[in-house]
Amino acid sequence: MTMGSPRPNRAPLALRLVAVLGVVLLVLPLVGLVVRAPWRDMVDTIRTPEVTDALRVSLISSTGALLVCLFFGVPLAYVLARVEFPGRALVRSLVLVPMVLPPVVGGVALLLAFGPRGVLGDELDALGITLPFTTAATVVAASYVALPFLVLALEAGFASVDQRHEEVAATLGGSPWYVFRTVTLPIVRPALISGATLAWARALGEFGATITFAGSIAGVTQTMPLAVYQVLPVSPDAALTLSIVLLVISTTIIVSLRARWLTPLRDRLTT
Amino acid sequence: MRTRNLAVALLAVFVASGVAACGSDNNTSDAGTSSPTTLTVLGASSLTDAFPDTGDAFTQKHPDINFQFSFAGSSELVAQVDSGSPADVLALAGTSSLDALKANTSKPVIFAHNRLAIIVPTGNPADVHGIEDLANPDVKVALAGPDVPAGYYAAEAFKNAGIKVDPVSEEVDVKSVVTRVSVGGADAGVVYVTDAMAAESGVEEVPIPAKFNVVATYPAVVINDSDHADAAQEFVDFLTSDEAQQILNDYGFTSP
Repeated sequence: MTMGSPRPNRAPLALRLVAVLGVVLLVLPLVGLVVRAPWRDMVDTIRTPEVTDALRVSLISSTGALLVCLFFGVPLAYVLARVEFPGRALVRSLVLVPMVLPPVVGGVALLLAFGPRGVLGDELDALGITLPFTTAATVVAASYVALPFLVLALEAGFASVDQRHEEVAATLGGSPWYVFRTVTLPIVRPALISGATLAWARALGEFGATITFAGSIAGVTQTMPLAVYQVLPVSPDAALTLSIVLLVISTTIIVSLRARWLTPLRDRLTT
Repeated sequence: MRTRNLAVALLAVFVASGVAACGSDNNTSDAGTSSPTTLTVLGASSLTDAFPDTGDAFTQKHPDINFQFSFAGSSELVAQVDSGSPADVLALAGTSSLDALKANTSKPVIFAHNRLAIIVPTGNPADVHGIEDLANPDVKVALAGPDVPAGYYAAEAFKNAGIKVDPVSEEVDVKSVVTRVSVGGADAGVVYVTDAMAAESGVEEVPIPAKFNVVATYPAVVINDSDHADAAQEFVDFLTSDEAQQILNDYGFTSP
């Protein structure tokens, strides 16, 4: 059975037409962005502090958020997929709430939990930690909105693992932790990568929770989306340059990983 | 396989530029011999362009004091301070916004005045030539929200001109009004003359005559809970000095 030749096309015409329309609607804003971007001065604009500061803050914020999401998300997804406990459905719904909560509301909620007057305000203060207006706060805000994406993808991954592989490894003498590391994790790698990518992309693009919880301070909490927002009324060129940079990064990551997903396992093993 | 290498290469560029920017960051607080103080200043969004320069001028006189500026609509800033965000100085675009503040502060110091102006997208597509044109129902007007100083000043100006204006959009701060007009989402907007000056492109200014215009009064206060109240008070006092006033005037503010 080859993967090369396309099957005879039985897709209804109406579906194909609407799909094309959908693509046009999605691509048109990107075309607008690319056409209006200040390409001639772009290299100079990228070197200005407005842009480099935003790049740096976004890098720290999104990478930090990804690490936090992996640290909490992998165990959380595993437990939700494998461990039967009362209220599991409720916990699953609660974990997904940040996904549907408007980001600004998420930011307010973070303030009410971790802000100086929040539920944990006194405890954090005793540890000498004040989160708003710090880069750490951008990591917290981005992690909060991105975590559900990782958990969602990974839970599905863990749930679909054929547990017989794990049972075999266990009968051969592997401890649960050893089995998890060497058998389960490699099997869920595609789900892990796609979930981590989504989470990272979500963290990179976060705006509402970040600006509400962390504030918008150039060089400290002003991530790329915040910088676009703050700079647009004054310097549209810098804003458009940042937008193009974001667009290029996002597209590259998505495209490269998409190619990886489409390659069948057999081909990967022989390459 | 090649796309993946390209992706890795681009990601490496991203990381490298981030690391390079890290190295050139001049905000690090571990430089300098005395323990440097960083003042967190919350400023109204119309101060976005001028305030960092006043901060630089102040740091030149007091090298151990650095600044972190955060700009947003005045009502948003009040909400931030009241919900506990750590700020040392609060500078708003209107004294009535200050009244809404529950936190304890020092006595307000008025450090600047501003006036309103109308902005239109480049080319003036709706042919707006005066404040009366904003009452025309065919002209799409963007304003700052009624709880934002630029919003309530605009309402006052409309009252002075005897017109009623129905905005198509009420923005969270005055800079968002500039954005709205410059990207063509509205035919006109009411902002400060300083914002019209600061916009590099995309908008043109239509002046509002003095008989209708409103004087915006900018107060600055020190938050009493601040850990750096003394340095904060020095900065607030500095704002009324000749040097700071010159900087503010350069951006279009007038002296109180």
